[in-house]
Amino acid sequence: MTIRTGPTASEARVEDQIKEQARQFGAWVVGIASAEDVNRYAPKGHRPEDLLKGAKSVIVVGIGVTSAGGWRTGRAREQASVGYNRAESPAVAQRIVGLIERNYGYYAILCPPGSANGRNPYLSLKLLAEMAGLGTRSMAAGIVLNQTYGLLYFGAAVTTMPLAADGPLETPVCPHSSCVKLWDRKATLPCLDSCPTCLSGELEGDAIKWMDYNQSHCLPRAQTTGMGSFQKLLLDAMDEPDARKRKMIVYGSHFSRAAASLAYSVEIVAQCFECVRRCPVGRDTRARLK
Amino acid sequence: MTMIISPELYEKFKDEILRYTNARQRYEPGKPQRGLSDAEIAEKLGISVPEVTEIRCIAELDVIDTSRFLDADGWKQERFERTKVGIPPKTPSQ
Repeated sequence: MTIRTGPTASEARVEDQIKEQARQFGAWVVGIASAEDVNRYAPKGHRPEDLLKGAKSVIVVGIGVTSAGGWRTGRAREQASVGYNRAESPAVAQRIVGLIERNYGYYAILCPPGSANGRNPYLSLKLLAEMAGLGTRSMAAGIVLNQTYGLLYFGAAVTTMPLAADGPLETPVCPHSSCVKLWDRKATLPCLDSCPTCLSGELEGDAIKWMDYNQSHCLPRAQTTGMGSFQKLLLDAMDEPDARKRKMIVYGSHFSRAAASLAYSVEIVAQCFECVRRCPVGRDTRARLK
Repeated sequence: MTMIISPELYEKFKDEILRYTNARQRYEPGKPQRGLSDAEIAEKLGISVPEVTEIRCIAELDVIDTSRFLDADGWKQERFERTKVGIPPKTPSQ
């Protein structure tokens, strides 16, 4: 492999070529962040350079995963089952990794989609998405909302290839104009109203003044039958001295779903959509279908 | 290096470590605010990074009561059935 030190004249629009490829791989949106921009916010140990020596750029892709139909299910449970899987966004990002190494001759690596330890990610995909101009933080748990699609899931490819970065958006996506009006009338928002135990915050004029998000309250809803649920029930069962009660725990429906989550990698994360269910951002896009 | 930490060490630092993390996230546009990394917390508390990592991982789960996982489906369905902002759900919580 030939390792080059910088883009040539023929690569002037290489960013567009990569983005077009990413869309063909299945990305709904794609943007480029500079490692330098990310480093201004991310602590040491969670920077692109920590994942790949000499990292210059991060190509970030976003995919909705939840179909428009998925938002119209009859119960929350169905959407929780099909709303998200860990495969799609990283799979697209992994194909970009291959594209960059094979076609452009630069090192690249997939940003690991899981957590490094506990809840800490290797790199913050939210920060990468922001720095790539794919959205801005919202009142809904600080979720990065895309201006066209609203809620997206992100994947990223880190590379030594120097690319022109898109940079953060200048205009915040949240709050939506209808939310500003609602705040003026009722001093609440669809997201805050849906989950007052996880979320709190205020608008000031047409902008977010502050937002507070309690991850420990959110987790059992977003990962109802995920790994944490399995661990909690496992410990409860181990601590239970009555063998009959242990059986009720381990053979019960919740523990069974948690075990299925581990076995089949389904219903592990993103099982709660309530803070974004009535979010107006991106709603028009999914309301156009018949 | 991954280690099994002592319950005593865990009890001593769990609350403080959790306070420094992203467990509670504050966002104010224009003000860079984030939780501390394990390395930053270790430096602050004078214990090792692997010790912080272990304590944090355990504490993240320890603070959540099992009942909150068991109650979550009913809570989400209740919220799902709400039709307007600020209006109680049509059906009572399960």
